[in-house]
Amino acid sequence: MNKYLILSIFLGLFCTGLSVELPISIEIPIPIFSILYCIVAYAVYKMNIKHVNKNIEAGLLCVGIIVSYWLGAYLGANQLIFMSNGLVVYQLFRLACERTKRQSRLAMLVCLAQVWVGLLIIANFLPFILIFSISIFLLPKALTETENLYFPVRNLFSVFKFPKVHLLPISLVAVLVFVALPRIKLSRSLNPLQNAVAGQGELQKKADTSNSVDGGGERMVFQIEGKQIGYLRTVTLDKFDGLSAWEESTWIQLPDTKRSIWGPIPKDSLERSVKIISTSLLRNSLPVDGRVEKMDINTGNRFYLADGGGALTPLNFHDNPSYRFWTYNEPIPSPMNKKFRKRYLNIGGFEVSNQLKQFLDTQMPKNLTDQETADFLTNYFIDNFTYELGAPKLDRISAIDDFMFNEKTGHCERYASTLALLLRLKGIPSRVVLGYVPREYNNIAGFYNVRTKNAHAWTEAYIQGKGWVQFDATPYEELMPYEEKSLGFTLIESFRYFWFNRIVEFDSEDRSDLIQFSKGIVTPVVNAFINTLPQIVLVCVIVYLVYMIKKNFKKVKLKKKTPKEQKAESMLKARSFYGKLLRSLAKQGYEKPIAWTPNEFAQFLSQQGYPLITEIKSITKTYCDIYYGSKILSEENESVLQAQLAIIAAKK
Amino acid sequence: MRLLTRQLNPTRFGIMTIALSVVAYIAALQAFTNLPLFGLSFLCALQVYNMWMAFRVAGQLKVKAPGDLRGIEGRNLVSSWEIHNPFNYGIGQIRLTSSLGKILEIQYLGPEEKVSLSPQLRLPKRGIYPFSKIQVGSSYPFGLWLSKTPIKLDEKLIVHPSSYPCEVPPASGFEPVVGGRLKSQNKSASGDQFSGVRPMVSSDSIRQVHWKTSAKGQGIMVKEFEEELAGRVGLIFLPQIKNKDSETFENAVRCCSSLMNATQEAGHQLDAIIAGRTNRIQVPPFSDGRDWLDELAAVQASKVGIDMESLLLDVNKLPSKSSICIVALHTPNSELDMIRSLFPKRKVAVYIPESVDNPTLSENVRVYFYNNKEIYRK
Repeated sequence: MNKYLILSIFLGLFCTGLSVELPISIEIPIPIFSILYCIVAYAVYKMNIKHVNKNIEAGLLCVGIIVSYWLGAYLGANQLIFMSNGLVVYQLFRLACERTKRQSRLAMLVCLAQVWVGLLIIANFLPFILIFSISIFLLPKALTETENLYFPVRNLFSVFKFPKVHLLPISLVAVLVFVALPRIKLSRSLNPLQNAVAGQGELQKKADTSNSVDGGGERMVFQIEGKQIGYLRTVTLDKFDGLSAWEESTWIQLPDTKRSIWGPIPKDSLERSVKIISTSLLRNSLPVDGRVEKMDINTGNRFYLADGGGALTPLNFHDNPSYRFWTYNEPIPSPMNKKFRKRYLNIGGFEVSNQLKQFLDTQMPKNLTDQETADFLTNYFIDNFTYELGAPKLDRISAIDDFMFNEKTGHCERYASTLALLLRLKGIPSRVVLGYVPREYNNIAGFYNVRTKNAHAWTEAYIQGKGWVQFDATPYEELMPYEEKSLGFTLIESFRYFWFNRIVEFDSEDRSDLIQFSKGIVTPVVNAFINTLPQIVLVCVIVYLVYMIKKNFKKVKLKKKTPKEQKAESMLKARSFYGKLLRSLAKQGYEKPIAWTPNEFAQFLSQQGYPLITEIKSITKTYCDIYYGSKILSEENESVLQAQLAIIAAKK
Repeated sequence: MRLLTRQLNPTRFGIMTIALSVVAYIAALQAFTNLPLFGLSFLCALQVYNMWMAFRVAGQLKVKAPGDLRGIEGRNLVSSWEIHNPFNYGIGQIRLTSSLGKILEIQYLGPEEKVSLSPQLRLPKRGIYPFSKIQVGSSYPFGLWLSKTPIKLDEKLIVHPSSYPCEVPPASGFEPVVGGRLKSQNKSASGDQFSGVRPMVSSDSIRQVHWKTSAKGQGIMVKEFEEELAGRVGLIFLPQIKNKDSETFENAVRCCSSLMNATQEAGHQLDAIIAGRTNRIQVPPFSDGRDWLDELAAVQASKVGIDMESLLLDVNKLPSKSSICIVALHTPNSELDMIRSLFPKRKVAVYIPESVDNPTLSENVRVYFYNNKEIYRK
């Protein structure tokens, strides 16, 4: 009784409930509204109302849609999607009352739309697989049920059974369509489905030498895939407050107008693919490494490379964008004008202490180039200082001196900011860069998990003829080691990565990769096939010949009879001949009594003076030899017997 | 969409799902996840599957039409159609349609199942309709696409006029007939109704011997049966009509059909002629009278007046012992006068429309009136 249609309606209601997100945070996400809808639907279904006034139904439906539209705006959800909750009213009526054929079809259509809304909301693998599997099972049967309403039932035993073997071609076509569907992103301003909610960022945009840091946690920030991945920058701090703190100035976020990142893929560049997990930690920064030459992001937003070297884009709090970029690890030499040079040398009124001055004048070798100076200072810190998380706070006023000459220990920010200041004091433009260093590698899927504990700070110095060169003064041996996770964890992570990056965010680039990959497999196979075609044809011909020979041989073999068969055939023929003889003799008045043997009858005929006794005896002997002996009737014997019989039959 | 002779078009529901798919696709492009496209792809796959299956089923379903396409107006076509599913899996949602309407609808056919089904086609008004082409359609399995294939038949659908119970027309020339409905005072050696036993005479066959009674020792007794008689009815239909009264004409045809049925029920022999035609149709007792019904299905009203000579010829074609029953659309005074004068001893009855007022007819003629549902005498 339309059970699949009813179940599909329940499924649609469940999926619609997923679109309702209450403005409260819950530890374990429970689909409260989905369950609520299903409970109400079941109660309504059990009511079994015969008929409802059409006007009442239409009125309630309109009210439902209007309320859901308004509620969507109130909850901050996409209102067009949220209106599917208004259609719940229609489905409840379909469950409660008897459905006409047309209503069943409309209910099916609404159900399809609601399931689609559900797929729009969920992203995780398990809920998706659950809903998708149920949909694959239910929807074809419900569609068939709906169509069958238009046909009379022939008998109760004619039950439709969807041939399961057909699910395979359907699935293949679905996969092909999924891969082939073009994916075009509209810009955010044109997109009616977007709801821009400003994110609450926790992005660090300040580095204070005097601070003490305990270290980051395990919270996942992003995942990155690529080869030779360097330090991934998020923020560039170029403004020193003259005491201990570095900040990001506004002008450093301005777009780098000297470069275009929209062109073709640069030759010999290194490709990275990044999936951002915690947008709030990055706010509008996209981690990049090296010298970015091309970029592509899936949000449809505008993005740009900042003058400070990083990439920026307005991100939604709810977004989990993915992007790709192509970069070079080596810096390029680019001229720096006086204005920029002045900015990158500005020490903000920092008072150089005598101790520091002495260090810079005496401890450092003379006549070093900028590169050598930076290397010297970097090595100085690495060799003489230690890395420590949670080192005591430094004196705010003389934090640099305190760090340089007293504490000599601390976290990466201290090293980066101190080195940057020292380089500026030496007349080398420098800046502090905050970012992440990937250390947790998944060697199955080939990506890095970057967590909050992988945050790092380093220095960049402008070297004439080279450009901005990276210097990391943090002591290496205490730096975050490469992490190795268990196999199970790695497998789960790999699957999750594959799921989100290759399926949930399958885009035109992935399609191109898939086509290339397929070509890579198919082309050699096809080429090999073409190259060996003559051999294949020859083998096929030989196999066919063998088969035909075997088949015919079997036929030939059948014709030859076994001795037993020959004996049986001979006996039958002999009996036939003797029977003809007896019939002929009976016509002539000589009937053989049943009790007599053939030889006795022949003897009797001989005594009676039968004229053709020779033929009689010959036939009788042949018969006895075959029937009672081991003789086989040959063709020659057969013809002789026939001739003798003819003679006897001709006698009157 | 036409592919050779087959058509493949989306149904209304299919168009709605396509529209929903397009809207969903445009919306899904802007989502941050491709998972809605998964659902959409599955829906597209179902569409493609429906197209393919409907196309296959409509093209390869085997339909065998009955050799005899006959029926009665206003009722369903009785002769069964044979449908064979050549696939090794179940199919369904099959429609057989013709220019006259829906013939069959089948919800489901099992794997390689062959069924004979009575069609649902309601026959139109009496007549002969060309039945050269039917269409096999299928929207299997989801009802999103409908494929139709034409099948040539080169048949004709013969729709007989409907009939109703009526009084048996007067019959004459009664003869002993096994199965006849009238009983005579005589007895016969065979029949349906056992009458009794009598002593055997020399002309009796040994098969007539009633052994049970004979065993009682009173001599050999043979069985006797009631003699059953059946008469002959001659029916002449005059299709001449003075005005364009098609309804009266149809009533007249139905009257002829009803009289035939009543004659059959009574076990009489019917000889029928449509005036102006050359053939006399014999309808033996207990037959289906197909030939006469076919003629009635084909007959058309004629405005050409009756020719007395040809009428006389037609009357002479009737058996000399049969009665003469005339079904006319007007009062056939001159025709009756001729018949009465030439055949004074024969029973004559006339059937005229009830709309005819006060017919002036001879007293020896039985007059019946007919309308669309009964025949009666005033």
